[in-house]
Amino acid sequence: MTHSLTWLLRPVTILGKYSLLIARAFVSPDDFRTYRKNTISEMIRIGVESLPIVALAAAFSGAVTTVQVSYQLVSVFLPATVIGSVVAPSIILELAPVVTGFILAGRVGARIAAELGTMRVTEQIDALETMGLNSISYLIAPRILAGVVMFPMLYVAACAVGIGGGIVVANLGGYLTTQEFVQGAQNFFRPFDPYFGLSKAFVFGFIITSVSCYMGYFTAGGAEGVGKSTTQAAVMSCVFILIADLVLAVALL
Amino acid sequence: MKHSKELIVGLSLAAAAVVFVLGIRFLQDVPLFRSTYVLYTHFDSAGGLSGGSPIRVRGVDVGTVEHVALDPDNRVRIRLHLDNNVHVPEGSYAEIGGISALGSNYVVIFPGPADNPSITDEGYIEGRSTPDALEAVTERSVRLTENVEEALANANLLLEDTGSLIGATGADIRPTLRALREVTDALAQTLREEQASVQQIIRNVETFSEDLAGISGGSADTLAQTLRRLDQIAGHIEGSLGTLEGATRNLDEILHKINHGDGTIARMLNDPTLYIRMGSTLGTLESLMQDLQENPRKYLRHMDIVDVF
Repeated sequence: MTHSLTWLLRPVTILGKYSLLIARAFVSPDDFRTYRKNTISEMIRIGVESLPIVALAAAFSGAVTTVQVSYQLVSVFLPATVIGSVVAPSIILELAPVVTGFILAGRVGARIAAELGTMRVTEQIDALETMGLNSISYLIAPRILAGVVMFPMLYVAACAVGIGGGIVVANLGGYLTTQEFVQGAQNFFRPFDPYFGLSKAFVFGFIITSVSCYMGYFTAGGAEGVGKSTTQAAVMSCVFILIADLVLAVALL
Repeated sequence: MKHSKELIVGLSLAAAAVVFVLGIRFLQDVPLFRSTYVLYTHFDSAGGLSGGSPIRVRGVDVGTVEHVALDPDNRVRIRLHLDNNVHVPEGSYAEIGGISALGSNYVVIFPGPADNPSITDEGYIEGRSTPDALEAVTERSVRLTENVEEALANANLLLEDTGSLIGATGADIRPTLRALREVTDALAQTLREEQASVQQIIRNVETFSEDLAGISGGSADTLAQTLRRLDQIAGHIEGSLGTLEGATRNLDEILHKINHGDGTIARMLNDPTLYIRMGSTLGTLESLMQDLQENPRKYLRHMDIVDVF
């Protein structure tokens, strides 16, 4: 009876454990300057080094969306500009944040979990504690901060590159001209869209880094445990990105 | 090199911020590098315009609507951004074009005479409100819907009345209905039984109408000719009737004369002396004939021809 109750309440327990971890990371007696070096290097690793893969993915998803929309919207009643009107908001609202999120869940989430997990199983975290450092703040805060700050940057890059990829393919494939694409994008452009995308990016950045930190920080069971944590970090990041995506869309759109 | 990492991070963030802002402005169609000037206009209704809607002169995009706001007097005040190289002369006016349902509204500027001086920055241009076609239709359809609803309500009332009527006189109506059904049944049965003859009748009627059609179709010329002839005959008859009338009139005259004792016939008819004379003459003639029969020789002797025999 007690066992099944525990099992039932496990998600809530995990949520509590997770929240406490994140809270402790930011409620720290230490001065932030202690983590500055760490934060900067995490920003480089999470943000700048992810740029190429994010740009590549965004360019291709923009290009594919353009081709697909041109293929689907073949109608005499619709001007070619409609393709631009569909592709640009799709990229801004959904594709850029979610594709970036998935890529970072794999690239960043797995790395964070592996790092923290290895530190945990090799008892480096205990060593930090012994040295009098707040290990949670020292390890987790810079990573979450870097994620929250750099993810919007990656989102902006993904938007720009994605729309650019769409325009390039529209021209090369002969679907529509740059002018038509831009005019269509401008006709139906709502200034709220990029801010919504930006808030998505912000939330996704937090989800990926915090979930991965949680998975890595509470790794147990040696090398096998690290592998498990790494996989879990990537998978759970993706799952929560999808859930957050829907919640944000329902709440804000 | 101490700050290189920080520099990279700062640079990338700054670049992202710049791209974000410029991207939004670009997609809002607010010109990024071109210089623009501002015009104001007023409309009765924004009609689907919003910030970023294009401005067109003769179909060419020349700028964007920057801002749509409601004035204290409840008119719509619109701030327009026009490219610097576009000259809008005095006497120009603006209208709202496009269909708001499709979300593709724009401001159309109809330029005034080209000789007039251009409207300068922060100037005012007259805004003429035209009813949006779709809005007008929508308004009408609302009224139509109201009418339909009213009609439906009336129909409902009517149905209720009918229902109560049937409910009240249900006892009367039911036997009637039953009788009606019996009649219908009988009719149906008759029709079933007499199906063959009914069909025969219908066939006959069909043949007849076909024949008729054939006649009127095939010999339409002949028919027309016949009708023409009939017309002629009628004409002749009319002439004959005229003649007949004349004849009747003459006859009338004659009869009149006769009645009034003019002429021979009148005398013959009216004067009895002739009859009396004729009577005596006949009497004499009879006696003569008798005499002749009795004594033929008395008369024949004097005839030479008799001597021949």
